[in-house]
Amino acid sequence: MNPLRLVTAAITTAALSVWFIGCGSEAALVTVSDSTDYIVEESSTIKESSTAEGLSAETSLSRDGFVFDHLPTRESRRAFYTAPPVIPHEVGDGDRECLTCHLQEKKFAGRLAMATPHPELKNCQQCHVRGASPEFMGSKQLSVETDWIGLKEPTEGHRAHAFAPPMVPHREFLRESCLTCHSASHPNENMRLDHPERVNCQQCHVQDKAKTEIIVP
Amino acid sequence: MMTDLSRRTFIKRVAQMAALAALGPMLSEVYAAEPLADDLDWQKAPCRFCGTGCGVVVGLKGGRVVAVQGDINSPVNRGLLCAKGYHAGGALYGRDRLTSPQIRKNGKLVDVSWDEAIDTIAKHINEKPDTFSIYGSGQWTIGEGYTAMKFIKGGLRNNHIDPNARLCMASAVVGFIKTFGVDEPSGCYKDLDECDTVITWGNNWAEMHPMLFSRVFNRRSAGEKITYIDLATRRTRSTDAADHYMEFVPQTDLAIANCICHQLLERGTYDKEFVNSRVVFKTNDGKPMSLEEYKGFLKDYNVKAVSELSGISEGNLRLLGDTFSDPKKKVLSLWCMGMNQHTRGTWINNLVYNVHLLAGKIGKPGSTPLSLTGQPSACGTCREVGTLAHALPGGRVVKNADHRKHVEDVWNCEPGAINPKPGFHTVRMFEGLASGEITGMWVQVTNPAQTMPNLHKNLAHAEDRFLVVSDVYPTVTTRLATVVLPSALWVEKNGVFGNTERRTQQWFKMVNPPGQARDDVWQMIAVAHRLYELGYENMKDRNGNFLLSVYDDAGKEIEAWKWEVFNDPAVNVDKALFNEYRQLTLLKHKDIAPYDVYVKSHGLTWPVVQRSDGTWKETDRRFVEGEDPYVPAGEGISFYMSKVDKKSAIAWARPYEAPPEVPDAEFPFWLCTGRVVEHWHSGTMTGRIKELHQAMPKAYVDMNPQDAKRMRLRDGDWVQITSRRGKIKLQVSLLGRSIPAVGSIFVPFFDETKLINEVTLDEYCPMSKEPDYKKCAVKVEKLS
Repeated sequence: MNPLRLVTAAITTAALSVWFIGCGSEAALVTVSDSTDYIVEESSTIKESSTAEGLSAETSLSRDGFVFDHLPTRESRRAFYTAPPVIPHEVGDGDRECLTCHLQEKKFAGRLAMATPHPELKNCQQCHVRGASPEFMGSKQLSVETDWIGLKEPTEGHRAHAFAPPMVPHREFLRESCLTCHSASHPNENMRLDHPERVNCQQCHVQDKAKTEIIVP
Repeated sequence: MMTDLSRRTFIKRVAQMAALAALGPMLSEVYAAEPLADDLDWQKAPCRFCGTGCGVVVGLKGGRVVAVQGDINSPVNRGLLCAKGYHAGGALYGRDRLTSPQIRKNGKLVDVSWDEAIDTIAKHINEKPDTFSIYGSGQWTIGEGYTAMKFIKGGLRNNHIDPNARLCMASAVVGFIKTFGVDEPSGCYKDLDECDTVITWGNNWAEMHPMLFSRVFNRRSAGEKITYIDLATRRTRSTDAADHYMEFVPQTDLAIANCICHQLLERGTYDKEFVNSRVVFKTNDGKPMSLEEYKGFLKDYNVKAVSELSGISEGNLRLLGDTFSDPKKKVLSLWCMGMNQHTRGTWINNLVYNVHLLAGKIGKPGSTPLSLTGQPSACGTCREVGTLAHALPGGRVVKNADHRKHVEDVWNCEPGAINPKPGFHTVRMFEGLASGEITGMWVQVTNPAQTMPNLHKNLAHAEDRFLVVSDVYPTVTTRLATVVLPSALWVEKNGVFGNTERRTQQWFKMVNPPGQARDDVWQMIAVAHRLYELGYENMKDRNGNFLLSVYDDAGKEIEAWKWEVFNDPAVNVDKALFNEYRQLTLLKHKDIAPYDVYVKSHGLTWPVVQRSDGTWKETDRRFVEGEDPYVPAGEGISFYMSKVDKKSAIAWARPYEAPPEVPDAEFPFWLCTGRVVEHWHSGTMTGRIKELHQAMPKAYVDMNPQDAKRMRLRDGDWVQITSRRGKIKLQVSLLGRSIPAVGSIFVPFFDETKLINEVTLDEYCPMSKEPDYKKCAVKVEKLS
């Protein structure tokens, strides 16, 4: 079993106990004590293995960004430019606590967890599904034979001339807070911001309405 | 002044700034001036997948779909989508798309020309028209369903046409007709914005209708108080948002609904004025009864008795009673397959209406029952066009002579052409296919060899019959086929879908289908025309012309059976079909507008009625004065299609009835089946989309950890699940996507390599003929 998956299970234990306490039915309580016992039993083994060969050894920071296990680049996590990124790390089906790490940008165990630009949308896995991992329930992932070619990411927005500020090349919907994605610490240099002290982004960077404000018909 | 949105954005940005300020100056980069490379053509469409009917905008470049975004101007989803919707474009590009017609020769499917395929099908039908059937889908466009309907009911005249919506929405339909006299809901999605309490009746909407779920819970994120009661048999992602999770014994939803009604009458907290003026009571067998008699019927459903039966605590049953007793609460009930796929599916639909009728919580903003649909055009095509064995377009039925005449006149077929005897409903049709009563079947837009219940029985001998399958990928059904026809998919053709909230949505063809793939509508018109050429009399109209002729705006016939004509970008057969069908929507006040009105809209909810200034107005809430133009002035809420008095709904005294199969010593577990957020139905499309397949590559069985512990099962262990009908090997998932109640398991049905429907039961609701995929008895055995 992948050690990361096991760690996830351990984190889930904590998350679930909170979650269960929040639920108010008597039927829940029966399930609670029993299942929690069960996971604790599982996760104690888990923790040992994860400490030994776990997180820190797996990641390194390169000029292009953090190297993730299977989805090393920004583009590899998206079916097309503006598609919701898949989850580039192990995540259990039961994990419901995405915002623990993704509410604000967070560095831990050598990784950078980006903040979500839309924390008010809490059904995260409605759009963000688990990305490729080497195994699913003990067997290798089946490949998908596809001729899909998604829209490629632009390196930057349109500029009127070489020294003009680039226009915003995507729509603002779901991306209203610019600095969550255009973080000063973003590993991808096309995304990285070099002047985070300036708050009023759209004073200079205006929407490329012709391309982003899709009004049909 | 700052709007709410910009204020929220501003606050977010300030918070971000504070976090970033500590990080200091960053590297500055030299930017190269480079033009943006995404000059796309964007066009609108409804999403291909579920019944929510989200608006999408499809990004096109070089004749291909390259991006999909939520349509910000769609009143359904307002820009947001789910993982399926965003990745819908990928469904077109699986490498094994069917690109040539195929015929089975010496046991093997071999590529043939369209001409040979069409000829082979027509000749078979010409020999045995009485025992040929069509099995279609809630994913048929309106034009496709309408054409198939005319083919069978006007042409072959045996009425053997039914859609997979029979397995999905039939109980909702019969429930509506029994209670209100007419199909489809009063409520609409605007009620999601107004409710303060939501009750789901066996529905995991966080995964199955995620957009509707988010529409409600985004209000909670914004600080509004929403109480959510999750009545269910398993914990799901939806349960995470619940204030009250009430786990009930399968099938006891019947008793729970009656218990709420019992409390309203006992406490005297029902809406007396509304009940006196708008509700009549009937016994289970249809005899009128008084309110007192109805109250007597409910005596058995007191809190104590129902608590014992259902497993829900007396306190929680009282909480449900309190919720509906409070006249100030705006309560929205939602359900989908949990209530419809039920051996008493019609009854439970009636009973939830009883609760809302007694409480007077119907037709009010945010306070109403809203039956959700599963497929993108289950409403638009199956229910409104009426592609069911007993139905005709616009809410008509074959048994009614006036209805038959209306349709014969619009189709211009011979008077008396339409057969008054209903054809076979779905399960009966497949029983007929197995027994040989049905000799041929044309399957379009669905995959019955994976999705029919009790597959060993219902698909037995399917490969021995003349089976035509129109599809876009090889499926378990195409493996049984005599003829396989490659179809155009979604934005590779023109189409119109109708969603849950009566919203009709149109789209245009945007890209070409691959290889020789062609539209399902064209396939059916081409076969019908070949029958006409072969001299098959019933494919002639009353003037001796081709029955399935379509006409352009100027009234000139379109030679639609010729692919080069059909495929001409200047020709729009879908428009011609829609405008012909439109004439049949007025009888039951399901009025739809002309095609061109939909081209310019983001869908319109019917009845759509023209105003004096020439514009077309949609209806948010049906049966409500001021919203629905068919409610007479001064009537408030009026169920004007009522068979009783043109204004009252019927509250039916439906009892609890035990399910046909319950767990016992040999088969001790309940089995429930369903979907997951990543996959659509049998996974033929979503299984070819990398992001979705990799997120959920194979089926599993969710078990309660308590059962697993007792059986010494760990996450990932292999088990065999066996019922009286079949068996399947699966891996156990603990604390995964869902946590079923103790003594029950859940298996998703998307995986064609793990056919859970070999295990399921095909007992159905005797009124709606919809089978119960949600409960049967199985045993679970550990495999070493």
